[in-house]
Amino acid sequence: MNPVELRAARLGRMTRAVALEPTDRTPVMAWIDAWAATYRQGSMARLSTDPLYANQLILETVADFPEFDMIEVAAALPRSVAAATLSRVKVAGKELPEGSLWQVDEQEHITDEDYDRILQMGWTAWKFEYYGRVLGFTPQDFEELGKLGAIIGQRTFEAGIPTLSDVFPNIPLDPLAGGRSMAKFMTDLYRMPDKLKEVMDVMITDTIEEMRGMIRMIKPFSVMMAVARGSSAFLSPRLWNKFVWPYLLQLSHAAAEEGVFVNLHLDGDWNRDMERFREMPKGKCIWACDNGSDIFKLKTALDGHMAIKGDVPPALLALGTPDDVHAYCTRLIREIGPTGFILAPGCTMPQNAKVENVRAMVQAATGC
Amino acid sequence: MSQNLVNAMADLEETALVKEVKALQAQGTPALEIIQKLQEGMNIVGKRYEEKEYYLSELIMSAEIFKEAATLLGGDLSAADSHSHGTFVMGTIYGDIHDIGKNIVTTVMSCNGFKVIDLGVDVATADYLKAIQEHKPQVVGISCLLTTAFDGMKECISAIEAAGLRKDLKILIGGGPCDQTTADYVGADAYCKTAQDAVEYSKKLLGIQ
Repeated sequence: MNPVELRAARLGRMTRAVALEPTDRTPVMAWIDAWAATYRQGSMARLSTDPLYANQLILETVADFPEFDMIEVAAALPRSVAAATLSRVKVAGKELPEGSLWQVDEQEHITDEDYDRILQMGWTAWKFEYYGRVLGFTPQDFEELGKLGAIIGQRTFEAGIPTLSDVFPNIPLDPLAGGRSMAKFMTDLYRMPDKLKEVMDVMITDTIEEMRGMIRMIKPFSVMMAVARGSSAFLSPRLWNKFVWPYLLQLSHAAAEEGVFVNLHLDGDWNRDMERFREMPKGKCIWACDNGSDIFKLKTALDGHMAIKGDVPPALLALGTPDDVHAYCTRLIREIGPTGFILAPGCTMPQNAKVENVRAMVQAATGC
Repeated sequence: MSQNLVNAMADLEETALVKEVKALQAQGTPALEIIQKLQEGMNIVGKRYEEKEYYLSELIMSAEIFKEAATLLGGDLSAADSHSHGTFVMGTIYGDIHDIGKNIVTTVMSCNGFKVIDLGVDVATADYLKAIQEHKPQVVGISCLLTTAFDGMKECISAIEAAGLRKDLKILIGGGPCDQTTADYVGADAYCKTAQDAVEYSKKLLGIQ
C-alpha cells in the first residue's frame, strides 16, 4: 500500500473501533514522543525544544513499527503541557540534564486577583497575557508554532500515519489547579466556591468557542480532553458534580456536534464515576485509560457506549518481559474487545520502555 | 468546648475552628491540649477518608486548616509529634521533581497520627540515608512519577541496605507508574497504590488498630 492507502486503512480501522463497529483486527497505537528519542538514540534536549526534530524521530520510529494504526501526536509537546497546566516546564538541556523527560514545575502563580481579572478580561485574553507574563511565550512563538505545525502536519500526512488528536481543550479545573498549585486550589474550592464557579463558567464559554474554531480549521480525528486533577479520587462527589462533570459534558457534546470524536484522556482513578459517562454522546468517545482506573470495570460500565483505549501499564513496558506484555495485551483484547477497543500503553509510552516489549504489544494486536 | 474543636476539625469548618482555637487560647488552655484536640479531629478526617466519605480534596483542606490552627498557636507542632504513632520519612526520588503524590501521602500519614519528615523532591540517596540516621523512622516512602526514576529507587534502597539501615525499617514505594512489578524490581517491602495503603501498611506494621 502507498502512504495514502495506508493512511486510509488505518483511519478506517480506528474510525470503526471508535464507532463501536467490528474491525478486521484490534487497532494498536501509542503516544511515542519521548520514547522516539530513546528508540532512535536521539537527543532529548533537542526533541524537547525542536518540534521538527521531534517529528522526524517519531516518523522514523513509526516506520519501524508499521503496524501502528495511529500516533497520539506528531511532535513532542512540552510547551503545550506548559500551556495546559499554566505551569513552567523544565526540559532537558536547559533546567534538566540531557536524557531527562520534561517535568512540570508546579508553583503558585495565579493569585486571588487573577480570578477577578479572568472575570473582567475573559479567559482567552487573560490566558495569553499569562502565557507571556509567567510562561515567557512571545507572539513570535505562537507564529512560529503555527508554521511548524503546518510542516509537521504535511510530513505526517505524507508518511501515512494519522494522529489521534490535534486539538486540546481543557476543562477549567486542570489549568487553574496547575497555575494556582494544587493545595491552594483545593482550598479555593472550599473558601471561594461561588467565585470559582463564576470563573469556570467564563472559561468554558471561551474554551468551547476556541475549540469549535480549531476543529473547523484543523479537522482533527478527535479532540483530546486531558483531565488528571478532576478525577474521582481527587474530588468528593459534591465538588466533582459542580466543578468537573458539567464542563466535561459541555465540551464533549460541543465537540461531537462539530463532527469529531472525543478523546477522553482520563488519568488516575475514575472508578466511582464511570457510569456517568453514559451521558456522553454514544459511539463518539474514547476513554483513554492510564491503568489508574480499573479497565475491566470500565468495560462493564460503558460497554456498547464508548470505545476504550489502553491500558498497558508503564511499569510492565519498562520492566516486564515480552511474554508478560503479550499475555496482558491478549487478555485486554479478549476481555475489553473485540469491538470498541484500541490497544495502547496507559498514557504515553514510557521513555524507558523496552523495544522487545513494544513489539510484543504490537504482536498481540496483529497476531504476527 | 474542646469537643467543638474536634468537630470543627473533622467537619472542615474553618471559621468555627479558628474561633474555637482563639477562645481556648483566651481561656488559657495549653497549646499542647489544643493540638491534641486538633489531632483527634484529624484522626476522624483520616477515618472518613478511609470510608470514602472524604476524598483528597477534603484531606488537603484538613491539612490547610490544621496548619492555620498551628500558626495561631505559634507554629509549634512538637506536641503533636510527641504523641505520634511512629515516624515516616518520605521524598520523591532524585531525577523527579513531582510532588503531588508525595504531598498526598504525607498529608494522609499526618492525618493518621504519624510524625512525617518530608524530604521534598529530587531527593538524593545521601539525603535519605542522613534522614534515616537522624530520625530513625519505622517506615520510609519513596515516590516517583517517571518510569525512568525506577533505577534511582533501586539504587537508593540498595544503599540503605548497604549502610546497614534496613534492619528495623520498611520501605514503601508509590507513584503514578509504579506497581508490584516495580516494587519487586527496586527491592521495596511493599507497593502502595493509594495513600491509604501506606497508612494501613504502617499501622499494621506497628500494631496499631
